[in-house]
Amino acid sequence: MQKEDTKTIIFAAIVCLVVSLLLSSTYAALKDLQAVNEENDRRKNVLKAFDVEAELADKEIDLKKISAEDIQGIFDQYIEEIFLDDNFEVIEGLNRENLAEFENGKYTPDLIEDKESAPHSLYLWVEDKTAEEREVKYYCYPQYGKGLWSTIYSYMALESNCHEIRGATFYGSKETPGLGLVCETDPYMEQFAGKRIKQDEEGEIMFDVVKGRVSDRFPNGNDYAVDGMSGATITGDGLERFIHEAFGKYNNYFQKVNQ
Amino acid sequence: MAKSKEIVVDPLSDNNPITVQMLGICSALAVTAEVIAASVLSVAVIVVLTISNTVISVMRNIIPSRIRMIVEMAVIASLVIVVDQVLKAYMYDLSKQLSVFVGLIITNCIVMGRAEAFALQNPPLPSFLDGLGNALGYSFVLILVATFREVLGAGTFAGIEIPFWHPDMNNGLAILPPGAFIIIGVIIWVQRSITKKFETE
Repeated sequence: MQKEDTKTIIFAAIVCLVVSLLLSSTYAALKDLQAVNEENDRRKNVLKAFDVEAELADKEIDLKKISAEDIQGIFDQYIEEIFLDDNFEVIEGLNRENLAEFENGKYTPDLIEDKESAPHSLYLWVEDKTAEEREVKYYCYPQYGKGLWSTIYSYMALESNCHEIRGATFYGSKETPGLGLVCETDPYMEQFAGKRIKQDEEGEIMFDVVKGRVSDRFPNGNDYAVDGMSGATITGDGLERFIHEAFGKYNNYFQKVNQ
Repeated sequence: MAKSKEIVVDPLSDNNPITVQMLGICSALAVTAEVIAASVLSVAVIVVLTISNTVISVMRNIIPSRIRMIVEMAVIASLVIVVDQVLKAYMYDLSKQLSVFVGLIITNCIVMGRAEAFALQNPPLPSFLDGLGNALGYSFVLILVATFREVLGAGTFAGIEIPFWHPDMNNGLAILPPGAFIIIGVIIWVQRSITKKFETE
């Protein structure tokens, strides 16, 4: 009996060892390729929030099939990323590539996980990058927070007046398919376009993810609200929370710009 | 060799995992709205099922019987994670579309079922063939259901538009899970009327 136990434990230990070696080596081998895919997906979401398909309608862009080179091309031609410090002033000379080394590593290079502290990323859609007085047509900022099971990543694009929503995307969450994951479907994301978001005098942010449908709650319509997802109230509350959080943050900058 | 052939061919129709054994119905309902997604999941299941059957069969005489199922689970789960990682690296959009369903291959009853019912009692080669046969039987039904659903529901096949199809002919029911239920039911009905095999006489 004693011998049998020892054999079982040794066998289990060997299985664990082999399995963990297999998994860690797979991960190590594929990590770089996955990172490239994720970065592309993130940029695709920026383009989607800007509603590139409508903006560059003559180029007939299909975001579902777009190649990495085309994404880069649009970024090069129209999009500029700026970084803001904690006082919401633009940090001159900082970009994604030199983030780790900039001023002796003053800022954390991880833009996704650390949203509390600077630098805060902000994308600008600039029609003509070479013009002296550059005119920003749209703004787009990252926002993310907890849903029910996982972090939901998102980009929100605003018109140049900074309170009309150009578009929003949600991606990369692990919410329940069919319930919370509805927030990542096109019909759900499309309803954000044309809605409004604003901060009143007391600092309260006006924007609701309602329970149910906006048309049932507000028969006369409400520009400051979007539909919730049936069966996914916690996901909806999560969206509302981080939409408020992110707008409250970036509005500091928008107010300066619009003065 | 005649027996080997039987092991592969049997699960394709007479002992099909979905339509006869009624295993793996969950994923057959969930990922059959598009032919391409169904094909990728099929390939994933073929890979996982053949390798897991072979590995477990190789170890069948040394696995302590008390931790038998845990070991099977460890083998299956790590294979699924490897497949998931490969998909994320080489077919990112599809892996996003399949989302949790690749991970759910772990709990796909076919994989565990074949390990318990076949691989533990048989040598590696027949186990490999049994895994292959069952995975092919599963894939066959999966892709068949997906073909009906995509054509009837979206008017496309593997993303290619069908020439004479008008968008008004799209049937929304086919895209929804109940549509899959109905189609699987019809397939089972047709299959049984041809093979004349019934559980109750």
